Amino acid sequence: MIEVRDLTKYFGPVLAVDHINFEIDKGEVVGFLGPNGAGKTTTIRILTSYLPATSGVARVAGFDVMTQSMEVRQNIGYLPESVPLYPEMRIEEYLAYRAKLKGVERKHRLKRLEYCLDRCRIREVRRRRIGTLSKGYRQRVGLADAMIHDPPILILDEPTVGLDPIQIRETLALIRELGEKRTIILSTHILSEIEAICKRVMVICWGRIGSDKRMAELESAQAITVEVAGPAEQVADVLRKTEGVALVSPVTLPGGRTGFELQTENNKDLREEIARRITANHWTIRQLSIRKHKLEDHFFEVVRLGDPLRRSQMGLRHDGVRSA
Amino acid sequence: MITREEPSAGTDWQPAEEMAPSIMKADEPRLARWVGTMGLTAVLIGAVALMANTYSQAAATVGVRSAIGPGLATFLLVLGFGGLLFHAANDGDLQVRRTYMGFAFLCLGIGVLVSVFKVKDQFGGLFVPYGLIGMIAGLLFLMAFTRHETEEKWLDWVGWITGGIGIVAALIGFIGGNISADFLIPRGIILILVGLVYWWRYIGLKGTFNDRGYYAAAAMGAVGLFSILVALGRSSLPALLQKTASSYLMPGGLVLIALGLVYLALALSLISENRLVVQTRREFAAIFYSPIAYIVLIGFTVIGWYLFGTFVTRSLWQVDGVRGMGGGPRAVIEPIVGNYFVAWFPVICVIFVIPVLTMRLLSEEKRTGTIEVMLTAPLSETTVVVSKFLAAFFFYILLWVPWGLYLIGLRVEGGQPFDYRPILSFFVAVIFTGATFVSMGLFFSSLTQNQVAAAILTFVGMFILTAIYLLKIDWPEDDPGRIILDHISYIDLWINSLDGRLQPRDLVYNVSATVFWLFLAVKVLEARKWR
Repeated sequence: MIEVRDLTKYFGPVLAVDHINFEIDKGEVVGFLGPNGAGKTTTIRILTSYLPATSGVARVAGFDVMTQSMEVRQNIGYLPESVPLYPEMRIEEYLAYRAKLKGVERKHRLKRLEYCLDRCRIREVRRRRIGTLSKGYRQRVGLADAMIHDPPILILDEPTVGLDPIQIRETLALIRELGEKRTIILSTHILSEIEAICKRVMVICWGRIGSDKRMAELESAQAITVEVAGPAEQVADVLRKTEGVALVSPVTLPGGRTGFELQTENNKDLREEIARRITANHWTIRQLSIRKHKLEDHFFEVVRLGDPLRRSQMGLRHDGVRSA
Repeated sequence: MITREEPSAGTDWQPAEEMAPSIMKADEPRLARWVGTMGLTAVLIGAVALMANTYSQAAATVGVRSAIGPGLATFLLVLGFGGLLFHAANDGDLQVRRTYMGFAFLCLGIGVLVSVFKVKDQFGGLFVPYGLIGMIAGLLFLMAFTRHETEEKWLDWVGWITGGIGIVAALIGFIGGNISADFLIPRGIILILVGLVYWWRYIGLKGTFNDRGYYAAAAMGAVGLFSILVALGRSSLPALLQKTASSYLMPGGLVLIALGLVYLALALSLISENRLVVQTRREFAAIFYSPIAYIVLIGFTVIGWYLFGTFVTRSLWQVDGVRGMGGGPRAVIEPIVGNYFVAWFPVICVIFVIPVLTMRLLSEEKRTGTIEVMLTAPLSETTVVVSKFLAAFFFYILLWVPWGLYLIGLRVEGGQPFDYRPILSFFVAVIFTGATFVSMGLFFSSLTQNQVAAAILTFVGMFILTAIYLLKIDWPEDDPGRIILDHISYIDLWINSLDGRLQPRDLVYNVSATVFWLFLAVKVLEARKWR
């Protein structure tokens, strides 16, 4: 449904999006993650044909965003980050106008309008002027507008900002349900939302795609925490030399003691092997546990690796591989 | 804290109970009630005084004399009706709104009955003005009623009656107008317009979502189209077949064609799914959301009234001669209306009105970010710009309507015919130059996010266009620069048009200037893509 090839966007001298490539299939619910200023909104604006790319190609629903922008716009429902609405219009009036503009057929218009009012839970306030609504309600009006013409692709830029916990749960449930038949791009800062509804996560930072993984893949990731009473330098050395260990990083455990976190190749459970090696050195194991990786860990890791400054300090190439 | 179950993702989804941000308590419409009471008092006093004046002889025999003259009584009556209407529109209380509904039907009934009675050997002799007033008042109070009514049954009834009156009035007007030209002017015209307003209200009540509203709008268009075709046929066929000129076209046929066009245009604008039409309708409505529109409209009307007043006094002064100096009636050079329009006052009004009218068009959308929502909907930059231009342009034309109405009033009250053709050519000039002004303002509005900056830029533009007229006065007549400026200066065009000299090239100049500014505005919107 969405296909992006070598997409680049410069704002004057500032490189906002740097040669990104990805593809999203029909029916996928994709979470867009990334720190502020990472290029999420710019990418989304290019996909909605509001901004043109400096170079590269983006196709949405089979149409080029640059040359067939009308067809693209017809096929997407877009909720912008700041949810701009006309404050002087009534909700009902606004949605009716938008439905007309987006070419919803007259026969279905009333039904669609009623459906969206129900699903976004704004029926009670349908006669209110948008200017008098609270942030949460405006957000829901924006969502109703995005889905009024029943588009196959929904692009939602931070749809839950300003909602209360109950509304967030409702909105996420709605997005999950919409995602059963539609392609959805969901941009957000709230990691638990992505964990709850997305099947695929893309982390964007510094204009690049830092990682693009399925949720199932991320959920299987795990880390082993070891705490050993012994000389730290030598312990680290032993751990590093253990077969199957990919990365050893020192962590500060509660109580100010130092421990190690291990990442293993293919997420293998190496606890027994590690225990054997440590006891062979006559050190004492204080703690040896396995911990499921959280999306948060993954996010921090990607952002840390994506930072060009840190990258050069750590001697890593930009794809995160340690250079020789 | 209310806990609720996670809604299941299946099709058996039920809308969860909404929790509006706050419970809304109906406001006690104290002010409206107070105004309504005052209105009722004013109506009663006015009505009694008017009756006392009308039946003064009979009243005098009983020893009653009115301290209030007919003028003041009428004023009180109008003021009182205004107060009642304000109350009706703002008080949604069940008893109040139903009472006003009854009052609306009373007005309506009297209006219809009066129009049907035979007075002065003529059916409907009282239609203008009494029947008309009754019908319009009835419609206004019905509108206030439907604003608050919640019960479908009542709304249905009001809908049927409104629609029925609309159709009947329109049909009588169109058919009667085709039978007799004497009927058509002026009663037929008024009847057709009343029918239009009622019909429109019926569609507004149903909404074009609804099949019934949609077909009502379509029928309105059909009536308009049919009327145009009949009028065209009746004007041209006799001339073609019998080689004799038909007396039908002037003026009856022309009027019927014009009214048919109004019906057709309104119907098309209501049911059209064309994006430009939809967007233009929204933009036009958006103008009326802001108080600026009403201030400008009222200001322009009042200034027009003042100028009209001075124009009439001056004309009377010229005709009667200067009292005490023994001057007899003096010849007034046609077009006598020239004194009304071309003076510095209206020019200054236009200079100020244009920036106010155009400043927020695009800058506001840019500031609030709604431009992003608009340009990610299937709406091209050109459509956005043209719809905004059309909306502001229609409003600009609307501003001048009261000025024309005053002159019609003068013609009707004064009973003296004067040359009306300069007015027509003047309005053509005003409309064409207005297109240039509005498009220029729209362009400046597209440049910035700041309304004030847009207004100042437009004001400077208007000032330069006006200053050209003063600048070139000292130049020799045959200087090429002067000739060019002569054509650019809109004041020259206005003056020439009042003399009946309306040159196509000047109009073409204004049209191309409009296209130029609109083109630039579209490019400014598209420029976000080049950066």
